[in-house]
Formats: sequence, structure tokens, C-alpha cells
Amino acid sequence: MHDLSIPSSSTTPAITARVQEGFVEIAGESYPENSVEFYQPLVRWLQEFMTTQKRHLTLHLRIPYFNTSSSKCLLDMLDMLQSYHYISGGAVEVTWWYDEHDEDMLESGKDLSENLDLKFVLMPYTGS
Amino acid sequence: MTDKGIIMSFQGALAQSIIVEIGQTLRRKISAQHNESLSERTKLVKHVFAIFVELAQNIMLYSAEQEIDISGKHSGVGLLVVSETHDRYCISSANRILREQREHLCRRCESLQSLSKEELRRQYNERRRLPRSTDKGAGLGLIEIARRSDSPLSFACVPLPEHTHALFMLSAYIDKPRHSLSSPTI
Repeated sequence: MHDLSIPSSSTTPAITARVQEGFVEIAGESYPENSVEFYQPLVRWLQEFMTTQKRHLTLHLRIPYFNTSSSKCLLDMLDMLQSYHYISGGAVEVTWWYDEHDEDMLESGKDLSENLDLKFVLMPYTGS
Repeated sequence: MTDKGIIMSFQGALAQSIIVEIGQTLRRKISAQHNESLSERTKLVKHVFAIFVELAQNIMLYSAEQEIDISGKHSGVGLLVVSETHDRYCISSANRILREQREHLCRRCESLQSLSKEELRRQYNERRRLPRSTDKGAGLGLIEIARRSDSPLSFACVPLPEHTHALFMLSAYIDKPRHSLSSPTI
């Protein structure tokens, strides 16, 4: 399987997914016209990773703003990874990065982590 | 000084590119109006922007009046207004809906009006787990708007002369930070 690299746009985050390292990063704002369509390549990549690689996966999320439709996509992907973690025995770790001056970004991370049973680290960064 | 007027208004077919343009301008304008701490400014700008995006994308995807461009792409038609008084911002939208959606939509808005922030958070998280009702949205928009607002939503459904449609109007309010009210405008 191949690595995935999608550059950011004004309404979509950059997506990087590397097979060998088991590394996925979503970075940037997310409010596309059609979130399901936008996240489809990553969902497919994750499905392939889970069935063929059977290894640990670290997910880095740094999403300052996302609309409600993207929010649903994120939760669906994390749910899928949670099943992978518990049923398929692949270890998954999530790091939610938040701007230390942005309490909403921290709250979004908390909302997600409280609705999941995964190793979920909330990590502050200093905004530019 | 009670009324400062309209910051931005748009009427017509809302395509994603227009939403991006207006949204960026709105963020810049509101950010420039405030000199509070970075945290307070971030929160204020983000809440106005989040409500704007949900209202605008809602019109784009679900307005009962759709415009089709030469490439065959649909864009919902509606009205968006961002206005301010001395102590708060108001983000409003208006668009046509089908008459039969009226009751459901009004009931939904009414039920959100009485919920606390914590109840809204819970409902958001519960609803996010439900399967999507359509492939475009997650039905979370109204809850998100209520969560980001500082006052209950105000809304109205007005029957239109043609019996098939109604006009749906929604306004959300965001308070300006308190100490910005007393400081003189430079």
C-alpha cells in the first residue's frame, strides 16, 4: 500500500499518512462542501492499513476549526480505529493538538476523547 | 449608541467559494474591532465564524430554492446578515423551505432554546454518533449554532403566498467581551 499526501486548501486540512511509520496527521481547518467525499481517501487508506498492516498507528490531529459535518467524519474514523485497537489488536494512539489560547479547540478534543475509549493525549502548542 | 448596524450581508446563491470569501472577511473585520487578550479574541471570532459557516452551508445544501450553474452544480439561495449593536453580534439567515418541513424545524429550534450549554454538549455528542440522515450533513448544525450562541436562538417560519413553501429565519447572538464595551473606540 502507498503513503497518502493531500495538500491543504482554504477549507480542508493537509493529510499525511505513512505506512511504514504507522503515522497519520490531519492539520488545518476543515469545512469542505462535502466532508464525506473529502475524507473518503483517508478512510480507505485506514481500512487498508487495518486489514493489511496489523501494526500500531499514531494519529496526530491539529484542527483549529471544523464544521459539524467534518466533526461527524472525525468521530466515525476514530470509532473505526477504536474497533481496530480492541478487536484486531492494533495499538492506536491519538494526539489532539490545541492552541493554548483556544479553549474551544481544547474542548473539541475533550468532547472526542470522552466519547472514545482510546489512548487520547491533549497536547497544547503555542499558536503563531 | 444602541445600533451600529450591518457588518455584512449577502443575498443570492451560496457556493462554497463565496462562503470562504465572506467568512475570511468576517473574521478579519471582527478581529480588527477588538483588542482584548488573544484568548478572548480567538473565542469571539471563532464563535461568530462557526455560526456563520453552519448557517451558510445549511443554505447552500438545504435551501428549497436552488440555482443551477452551467456545469450543473446546485447552490442554495438565501440571505445572510451579520449585524452588531454596542454589546453583541447577530448572525441571521433566511431561506425558503418546503411547507412540510416547517413544523419539524420549528419544534427543533424550540427544543434547543431551553437547553443549557451542558445539555447542548450532551445532545451534540449523542447525535454525532447517529447514522447520517443524508450524505451531506450530520444534522448537527442547529445544535452547534445554539452551543456557540450566548442567547437562545430566535427563529420564525413565515408562510409564503405559494402554498408549497415557507420562509425560515434564524438569528443567533454573540456577546462582545464586557470590557470592550466601556473602552472608547479609537
